Amino acid sequence: MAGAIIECSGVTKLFGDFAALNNVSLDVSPGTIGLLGPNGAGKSTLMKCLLQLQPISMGVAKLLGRDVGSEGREIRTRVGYAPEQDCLISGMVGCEYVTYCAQLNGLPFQEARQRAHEMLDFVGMGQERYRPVDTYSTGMKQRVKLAQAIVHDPEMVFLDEPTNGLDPKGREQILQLVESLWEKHNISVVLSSHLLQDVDRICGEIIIIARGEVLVKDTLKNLKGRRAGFAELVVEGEHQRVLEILRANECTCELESNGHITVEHGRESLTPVLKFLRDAGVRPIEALPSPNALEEVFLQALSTHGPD
Amino acid sequence: MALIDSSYTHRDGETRGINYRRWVIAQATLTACLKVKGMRWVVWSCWIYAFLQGIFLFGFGQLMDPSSTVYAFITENLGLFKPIAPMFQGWAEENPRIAIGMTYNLFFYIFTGAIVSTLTLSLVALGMAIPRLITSDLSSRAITIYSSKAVSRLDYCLGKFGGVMLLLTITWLGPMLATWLMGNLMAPKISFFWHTAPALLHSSMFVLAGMIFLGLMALGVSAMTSSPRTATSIWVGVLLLGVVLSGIGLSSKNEWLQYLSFWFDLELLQRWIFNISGDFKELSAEYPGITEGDIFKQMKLRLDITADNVAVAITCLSLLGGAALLTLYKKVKPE
Repeated sequence: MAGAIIECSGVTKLFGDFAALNNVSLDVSPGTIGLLGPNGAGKSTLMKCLLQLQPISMGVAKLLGRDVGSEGREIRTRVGYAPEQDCLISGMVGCEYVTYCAQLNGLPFQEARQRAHEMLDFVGMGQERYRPVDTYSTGMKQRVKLAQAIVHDPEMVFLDEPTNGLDPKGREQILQLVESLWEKHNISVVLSSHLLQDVDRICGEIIIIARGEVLVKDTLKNLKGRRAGFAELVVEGEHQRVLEILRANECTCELESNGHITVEHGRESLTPVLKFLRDAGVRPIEALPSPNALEEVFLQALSTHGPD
Repeated sequence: MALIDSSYTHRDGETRGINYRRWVIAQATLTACLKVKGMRWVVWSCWIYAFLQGIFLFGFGQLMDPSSTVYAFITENLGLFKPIAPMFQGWAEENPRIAIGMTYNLFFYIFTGAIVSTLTLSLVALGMAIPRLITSDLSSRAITIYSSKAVSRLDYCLGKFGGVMLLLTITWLGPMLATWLMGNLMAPKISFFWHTAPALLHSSMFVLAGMIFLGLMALGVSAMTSSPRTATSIWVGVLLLGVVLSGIGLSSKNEWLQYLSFWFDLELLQRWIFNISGDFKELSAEYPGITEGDIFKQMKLRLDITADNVAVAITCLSLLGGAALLTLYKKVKPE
């Protein structure tokens, strides 16, 4: 594939007899890519193999058009990585740490320091940047990890569980930042997460991994298309009436415990459903086409191919 | 907390090469070591020690110059030294190779390797620095961050090694050079430099060899564990084991045991580089009377060294260095 940022061919990673990655072949275009999978599926291992943090046992991988095995250092000048674990350098203050990371990528000191402050502004770090990283809260650690991953202006970043341990507000802020990397700054993002909402919110392309194998690789739009015949409606009161209207129009529906109505309408679009509801004088407060599409696809993929 | 999204800008500045990145790691390592509580005291002690040695050598140099203030002060005020100063000066005129060169060589032999010396202080400094070298990166998993940057494992190790070399430069090599320079300050003649140069050369060779070996050992010990206390304990253990093995080897007549002590091996290396026994031979050829005493004979016997002794010592040091490198190879990994 022309312009692919990740190209894998038969990539296998063995730990003794155990295959953490088993014959993975992928071509991934620039954009926001979500790596999904249960714990131990091989998401982090794939990232680490691509970054040469773990040697590949078999197969060939290319990142940004360069061979991972022989050009690892050159690749890493153009790639950022925020690992799942803390990985901070004890004793350094936040801005010192990010400056140091920039220098490790070859930025001269003055520029490294300037960019470190810019990136710490970008990730929303205030005066905390002058505190030792050892004293940071989980949220601050996630921010500073993101800052060090992008300080050298990479072409793509690997983010391993970037919202782990964050409160809803902090999570929202980090997701906004990550979203803006591709949308506004053209930096491709590979996001590994077990939080489907995060991936659903940000990613344009989804890769589902289990048992070290790629089960699904498709755009989010296509994946949601697979669940196009489903919808979720939120209505005020008159639940029974709505259920009757839907059933009268050949829909299978059910009232959930949260008061929402799930509908299997079997149509390409939700518009006809909304039309006959409107004709019957019902105006839903909210209508979600393909609700939980990613979750459904994920569970379906796992049940079809995945772990027992 | 406000998000200042617009602050992100793409960069188009220069990207420096791998040697710069290694240097950055070395600098950061030195900075981290100097932050250790008490380290600055050790560094200051090294320089004060060097300063005192320098004053001593400065006085020695001035003894050779009848026009110097020191010479005048000694001959006029210190009655005891009144005949000694002209005698030294005459000796230096007659045989500068021995009077200056050999004396300097002996002084620097003692300065660079004595029990109370900048070597010992450097070992203390390394013991304090060891938790900050690789151990802390292992415990905080910072190795992963290094590995995700444009530096390889080798670059990381070279950078860390550079950091240890910088630390040893300010505790051992630097003070030694400063001592030599102070000793040569206001030297009576330019030839004084030439006669003291071999001592500088020998000291530099020994100190640099010692720095490389001790640097490797320190990194190896630091990479052995992710616990700072354990790392320091291992370092102290290695030093004590050297002393014990050397002592057992000497007292039990199992001389080979001594070679397992890196103290002993370094001492042999030092004797070989400084060639003090060669100096004694030259001295006894020139002045047979001086070296006839029992003390000189015993010293000569102790300082005598064969090429085989040196070869075994260098082999043992190389093996220990190799073990340290192997430890680095095995332990310095992202996870």
